[in-house]
Amino acid sequence: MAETAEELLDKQNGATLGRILGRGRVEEAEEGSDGKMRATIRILEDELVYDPGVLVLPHGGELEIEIFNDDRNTHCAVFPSNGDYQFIWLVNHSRGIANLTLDGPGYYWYGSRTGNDEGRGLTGAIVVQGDAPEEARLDRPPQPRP
Amino acid sequence: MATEEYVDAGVAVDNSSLSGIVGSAPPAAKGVNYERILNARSEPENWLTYYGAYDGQRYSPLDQINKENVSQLAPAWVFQCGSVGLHSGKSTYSFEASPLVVDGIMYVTGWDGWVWALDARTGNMLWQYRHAIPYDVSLCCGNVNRGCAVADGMVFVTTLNAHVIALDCETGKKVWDKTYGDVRAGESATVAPLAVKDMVIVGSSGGEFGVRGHADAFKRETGEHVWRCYMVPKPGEPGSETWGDDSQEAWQRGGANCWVTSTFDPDLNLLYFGTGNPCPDFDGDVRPGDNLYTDSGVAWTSTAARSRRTSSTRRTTCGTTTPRWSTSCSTSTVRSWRPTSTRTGSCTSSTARTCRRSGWRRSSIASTGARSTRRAT
Repeated sequence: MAETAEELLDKQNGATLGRILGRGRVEEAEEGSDGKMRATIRILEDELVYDPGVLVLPHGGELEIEIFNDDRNTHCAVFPSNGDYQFIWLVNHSRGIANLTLDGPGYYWYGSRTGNDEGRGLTGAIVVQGDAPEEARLDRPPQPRP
Repeated sequence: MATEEYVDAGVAVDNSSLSGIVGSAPPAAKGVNYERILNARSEPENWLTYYGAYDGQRYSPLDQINKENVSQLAPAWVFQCGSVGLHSGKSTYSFEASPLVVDGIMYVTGWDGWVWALDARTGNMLWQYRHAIPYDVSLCCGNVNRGCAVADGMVFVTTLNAHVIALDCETGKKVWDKTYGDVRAGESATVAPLAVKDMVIVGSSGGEFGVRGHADAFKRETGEHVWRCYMVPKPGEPGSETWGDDSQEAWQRGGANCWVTSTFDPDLNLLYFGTGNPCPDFDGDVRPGDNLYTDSGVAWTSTAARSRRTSSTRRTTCGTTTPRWSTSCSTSTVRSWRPTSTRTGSCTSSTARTCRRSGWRRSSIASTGARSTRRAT
């Protein structure tokens, strides 16, 4: 049976050369009793993706990511964080930690700068939910939110 | 899989640690205070505030470069920082900042949350700070920042996601961070702050996205919010009669953002703001009237504050949105400003750019708002 368009898009060398960005699983970070959020991200073997592709935080703050490279090639991750990007080099079958500080709300991209990893699928998103603090909001009646 | 089977990649590091960046700068900004900025023009080798001085003249008395030798100017150094990864406004990022120079140290901001301290003589980077900016922040006019303020050992910057932050002038590390706009409402911030007395003054952006423009003041030392002044009045407040829509909703999304740094008159204790376009920009049918105080020059006292207790929070606001005076470029007549040899201008009606966009402002008799001379900003 011929593969569907969605199946072709969901892999390397299907419809595209690399995996199209923005696809993949969505997963939520867990918030610990210390207020720090934690999540695990894996570079899956032979797929050139971060899994989950989209990490969702309940609000802005401190995030600890345990990141695994399960692939048989070297990659890296350059994460956004207030102050400076956080860079971690990930050789074959390695594990590391990244500590990030992110505001909310909105979303951020991160990626692997190795070769064209970014273009071929190794670009992930971190979504921060929540609202601006009350003191920062506009003094006006509630507005429709499309 | 058991974690012990993995090669230990360690902990992610600051990206700048992979370069030869020094990571620290001399504490030049520690010697900058309100009194020194008041007399900024007396030290022309420095540029202590966004306009060079509080009067907004952008005038330097330096004369080594003159019309006889200006043709011989050549680059002394170039500082370059490229784009990294996916960031908002990818096709419209640029340098739009006025650098500050204090005793050989240059403080300059860039796109996408970047702030740098450079050696002003060589262009070498001393430290950098980058505030992580959400990819989806609303931006009308590019991923840009207009500059910073320095005082009391700190560097003050706004971020595109509507924060105002204070950085240590020696290390570039964050001292405090306050949110002063609502990105979900379409607000952002691109303004260079102004350090006045013990405060730092900022203005909001987002006039194309249906927000209500405002200026805010924060205590420099702590980031405590001192006051907020809205540039569009609420119903019943002076000027509200110029928002003639039957629904009485246009003011809620009226615009009038003050996204350019204000000037300050220390003798009159007045801050002068230029306000931006009304919203929607090009459809006046939904906002009949003069729409005060959009496209206006507005003067506020630097200590404009009357406390007003709201629900569970105490907010210090301008009790009514009533500036000391305002003078407007009419939204129905576009005016242009032409320079004359004496650096004054005259106002003519034409189809040129609005006075807000053209960089001209009125230099009026400050206490009354009456028009006198017009000077370029």
